[in-house]
Amino acid sequence: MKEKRISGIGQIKVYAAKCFRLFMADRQWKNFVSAFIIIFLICLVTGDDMFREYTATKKGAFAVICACIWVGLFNSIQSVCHERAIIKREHRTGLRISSYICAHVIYEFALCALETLILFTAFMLRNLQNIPKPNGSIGTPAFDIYVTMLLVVFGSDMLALIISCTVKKESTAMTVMPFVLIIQLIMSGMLFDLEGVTEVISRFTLSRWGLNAIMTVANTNDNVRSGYDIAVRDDAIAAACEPNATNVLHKWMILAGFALLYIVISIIMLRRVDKDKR
Amino acid sequence: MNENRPSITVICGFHSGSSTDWWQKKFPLSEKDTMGRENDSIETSIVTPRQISTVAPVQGMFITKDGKTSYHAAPDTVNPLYRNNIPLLPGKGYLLEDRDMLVLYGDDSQQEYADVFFVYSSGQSAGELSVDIRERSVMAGGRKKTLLKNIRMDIPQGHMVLILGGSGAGKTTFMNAVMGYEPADGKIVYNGRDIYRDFDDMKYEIGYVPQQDLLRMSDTVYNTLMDAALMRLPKSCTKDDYKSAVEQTMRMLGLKREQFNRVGKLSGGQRKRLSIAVEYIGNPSLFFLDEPDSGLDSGMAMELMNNLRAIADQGKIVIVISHSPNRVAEMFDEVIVLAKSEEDNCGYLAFHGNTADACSFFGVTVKENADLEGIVSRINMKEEGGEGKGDYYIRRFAERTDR
Repeated sequence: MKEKRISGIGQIKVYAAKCFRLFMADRQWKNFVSAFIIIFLICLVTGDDMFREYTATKKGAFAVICACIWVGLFNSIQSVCHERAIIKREHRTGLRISSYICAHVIYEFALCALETLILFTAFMLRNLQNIPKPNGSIGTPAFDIYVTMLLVVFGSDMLALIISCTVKKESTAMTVMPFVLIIQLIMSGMLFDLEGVTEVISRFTLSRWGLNAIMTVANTNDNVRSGYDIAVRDDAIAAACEPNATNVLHKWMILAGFALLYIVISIIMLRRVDKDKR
Repeated sequence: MNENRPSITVICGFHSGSSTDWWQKKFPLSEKDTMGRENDSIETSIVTPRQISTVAPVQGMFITKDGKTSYHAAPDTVNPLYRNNIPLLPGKGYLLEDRDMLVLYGDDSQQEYADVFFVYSSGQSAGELSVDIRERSVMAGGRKKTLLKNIRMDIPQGHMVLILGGSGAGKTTFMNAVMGYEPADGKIVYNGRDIYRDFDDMKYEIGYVPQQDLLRMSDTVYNTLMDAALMRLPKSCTKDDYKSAVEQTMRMLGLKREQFNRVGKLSGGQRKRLSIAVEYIGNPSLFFLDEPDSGLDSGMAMELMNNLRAIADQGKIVIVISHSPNRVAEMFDEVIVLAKSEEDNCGYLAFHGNTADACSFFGVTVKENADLEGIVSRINMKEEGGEGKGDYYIRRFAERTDR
């Protein structure tokens, strides 16, 4: 009679425990230091008008979202490809790829939550005087900003997971990563006016939806005060950042949807590991 | 010895410091036989149904052969018997299968201790590996490239087999085809089951140790093995079962002292033994190793091969690719020689048989010792530094097989 082996859930437990166990051994705590240094530098340059004036808020939010994407991408860009040969071997002896990826997702989510906490805490402390007033936010504005940042960090992490599951070498992953990062930055809709194809591409970026969510929570539409702000105010962004809870929730769902989609793509890509040549 | 009679093979490993001396002997079993460590106090016994009533009150454990074999132990026993790495519970009956591995081991704290293995065989026909590869080919640059052709053989259980061949002769391709990882046009049957057809069910019976050590360097030896046990042993195992499987595997492969060390800190030989342990812990009956001794010095290679020999002696089939087999030639039961034909650049079977026959077939002995490495020189092409007689031996062996 065929003996039953460990279930898919059981495999998730084994591999998630392994990920957490190797956190210290692989010195992944360095990611926290990296996150702190990045947000510290951002805090140095954002000035005192964050959450108070339209242009300053837009620039500050862009910098924070850039930091979130950078931190997320770096979390998992090499996490799978560096042990691809091991996965191939383990897959042949019963490892389910979906369990392996789910275990990574659990671990990465915990990592992202802590990294976001560092980014969020430092950034909010820097702008303690200007924390936005509740204006149609889901929780408190601070809570909404934390969740938005977490979704961007986690989404970026999952995007990097796709790359890590697709490429066979760490060096290839590190070569691809800057392209992904640059697309996220220039297609966010904050730096350039996007039309046609570029506008369509921007709809698939985490940066666009993350920025819109933060600017919605920050109530930037009401912060247009100076003449310069009036001159640079973008109607499209203003329409997307209408301050109400439904709008924030809509952006969150898009960000969460992207993360979910990336997880599914990662599983599909890694299932090809058996076809790797020796 | 009559192969159809029930028998028990006793394998002892006497561990002292870093060295281990192995001893084994096969005993035929008769209706009246009993076995134990002491005459007056039977701690471990193999008994027949006729004796069960007289032995039952004895404190300890005993095994009865009752059509199928079953196991019982006194509830207060402190030194339980282990079956395939899993401790048997005192007072509970078990059905033992043919060639189950039973182990009783000593105290953890002792520097010197002995492992005792009992491999029971009912004498029924043992399972064997039957290989019939008509062709193994791949598409390269839009063209079909044949890598292996016409390889047929049967390998009995308990045999340790060496695969020899020059570079590009198809040794790893052959191994992958037999394991079902890269199926060939043909059929691989083990214990009456088609590996290609039933691969999903049979994958746990196959252990493969590749040339490179596929281990997570930051993890500890113990955790690496515990994860392997959780992934590969049956779901019915308890926490204690997993723990004891890890303990026994570490002891068997001399990794106990390194259990809390990170894999990355291990020596090459220790890392290779850990790679073997990761596979061994799942108790596969087919064991494949691709150059396990590469990069190891003679002492380490000898120790590693001793471990593999012990695994084969548990009734498993161990198939090893090695480029330095002379130092451990006596450990192999059979030799498979693959040679690349200069005519079509494809790998063929140039020999399959026992070691002595292989040496005689290829005319290679050095001072009465088997010079297995000399075989590779015979069949390698001249531009590879060999004698270029691959095609000659392929034809000669085919003629011999046809006869």
